[in-house]
Amino acid sequence: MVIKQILRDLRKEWSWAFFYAVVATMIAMAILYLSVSFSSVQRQSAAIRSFVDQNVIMFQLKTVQMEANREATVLSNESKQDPVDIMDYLQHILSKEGNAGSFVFVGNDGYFDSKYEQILILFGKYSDLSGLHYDGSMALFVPEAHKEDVGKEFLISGQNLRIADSAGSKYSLFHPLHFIDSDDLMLSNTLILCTRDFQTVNGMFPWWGLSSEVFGRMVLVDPSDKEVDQLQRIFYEQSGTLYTGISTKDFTQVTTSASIRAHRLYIWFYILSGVLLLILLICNIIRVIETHIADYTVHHLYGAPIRTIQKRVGGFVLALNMLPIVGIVFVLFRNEMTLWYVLPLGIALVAGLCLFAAMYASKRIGTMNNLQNLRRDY
Amino acid sequence: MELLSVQNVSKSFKDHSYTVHAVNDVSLDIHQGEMIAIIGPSGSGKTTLLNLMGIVISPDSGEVYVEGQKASGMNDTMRCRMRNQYFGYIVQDFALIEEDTAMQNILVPTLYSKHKKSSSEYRKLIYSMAEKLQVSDKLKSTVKKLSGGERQRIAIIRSMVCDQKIILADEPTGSLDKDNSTIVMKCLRELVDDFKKTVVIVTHDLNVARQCDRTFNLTGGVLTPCNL
Repeated sequence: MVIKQILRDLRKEWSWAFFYAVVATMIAMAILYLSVSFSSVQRQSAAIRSFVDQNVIMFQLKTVQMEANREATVLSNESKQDPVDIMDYLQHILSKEGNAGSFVFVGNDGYFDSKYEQILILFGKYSDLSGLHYDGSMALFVPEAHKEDVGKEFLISGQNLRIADSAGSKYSLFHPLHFIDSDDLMLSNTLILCTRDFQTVNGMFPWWGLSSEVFGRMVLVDPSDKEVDQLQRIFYEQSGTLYTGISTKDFTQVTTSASIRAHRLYIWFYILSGVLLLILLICNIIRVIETHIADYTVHHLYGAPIRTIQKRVGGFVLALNMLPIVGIVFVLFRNEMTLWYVLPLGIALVAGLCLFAAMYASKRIGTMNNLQNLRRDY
Repeated sequence: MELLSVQNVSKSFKDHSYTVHAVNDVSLDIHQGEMIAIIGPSGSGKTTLLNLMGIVISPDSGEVYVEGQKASGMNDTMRCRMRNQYFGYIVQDFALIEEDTAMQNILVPTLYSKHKKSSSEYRKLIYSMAEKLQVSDKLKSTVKKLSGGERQRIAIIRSMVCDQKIILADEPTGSLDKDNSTIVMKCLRELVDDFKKTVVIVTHDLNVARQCDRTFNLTGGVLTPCNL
């Protein structure tokens, strides 16, 4: 009977109910999506700060079209240095003594346990930059999802390697040009190999040609000008294109800060919209109750206990919020419940609103539960 | 035995700094098949007394008995059940749900009735009552489309649909013109004479009060019998 009455109340207020349900769903969804996105941007921001603090220099393709200068070419030929052996250079600069770092993804072509789809190789300083620390020249890590493998041994291209530790639940991979968040499937099924021995690892994956990819993502940690110049020259010799070193701070200053500002602004916008919507909802609950007070009083006079009226009013408010709740559950499901704390918060909020509506209605009937309540001149 | 008995009932309300004694030590016995009028000036406590009789509010002191059952000490659910079983209410502004149809309004008491009949039985009963009151063609109309007289006749049908024994009417003709007032009073009189219903009318219209079997005057919360 109460459900029938709730449905009838909804039908009477259908335009408001529809408007509220749509707006509330949109705002709830927007807040959820932005929260997810914002937490990712924040993690990215923390990684950037760490890179900036360590004065990490990355290399960017210079896009300026230049014409050959005859005088400069002569000068250049005169002062031309001996070509560097690239393998030796990489071996040195990616070793413990060097200050370079890079990473590559290698597909799992039957090298190791099939549950890992690929292997992420962190060269030189990149493991430290990513927060993975180890002794020796090589170490294997697994993502948090496979931490049961810690301590196991894997034979990878003839090398028997023991898994040292798990990378932790917050492990994410940052490069000024890429950011792979810890939630990303690219990291959750990936074995992580940290190494300071480029040539050995290069020999383990002979078909992959690691050196070009290593160059493409090369960063230098707190380098001298000479080291930057040297790497630029090697880039030119290897690829024939001009790369320039740029600090992480300079590179990310515009893009990331603006992104964080925009996210913060959006979140505040939606939070304020949410608060306004809540105030609007409370005002409208009061309006609906006031409009229907004669209706409730008639039912009360003819035998509906206050508890039944409370259920009816509370149920009406619950029904108003069903669509936003379903929306939140859907989003949580799609996010594999990573925002599990949102659901109890949402339920508590809606329960609070239902309780408020029920108490308000009973108080109104309680204080005016007499026949005067049904007089228009009251 | 009295159908409705009010014994030494008092009720006061606090209005900011002072207390209003709306009903002061009132006693009244009402029998089945009686039509009683309570008259008095505005603010004299007539509606409060009607609320006390109808177990809508509780007295500060005194007792209300319905067919010998003491109403005080009952919880909300029991009071609601008793109201549903014994009382029908008619008020000046009809107390109908405007957006609902006349039929839906009449069926409200049946939703909470302990002795439910089938839907078809209720409909048959409602149509026969509506025929008598000449509103059978209005049952499917929404209340907001009805005239004042039609609304009050719908309210009268609602007050009897669960075979309630007592009808409490608060200024039943207050919003009606002379013709409609006559029709409504004729209906109420028929309920008393033909169906042995008990009707208590609160009014300040002496013409209405004259049509009742007994008349009481309520002034300053004190009830006294009077002859008109």
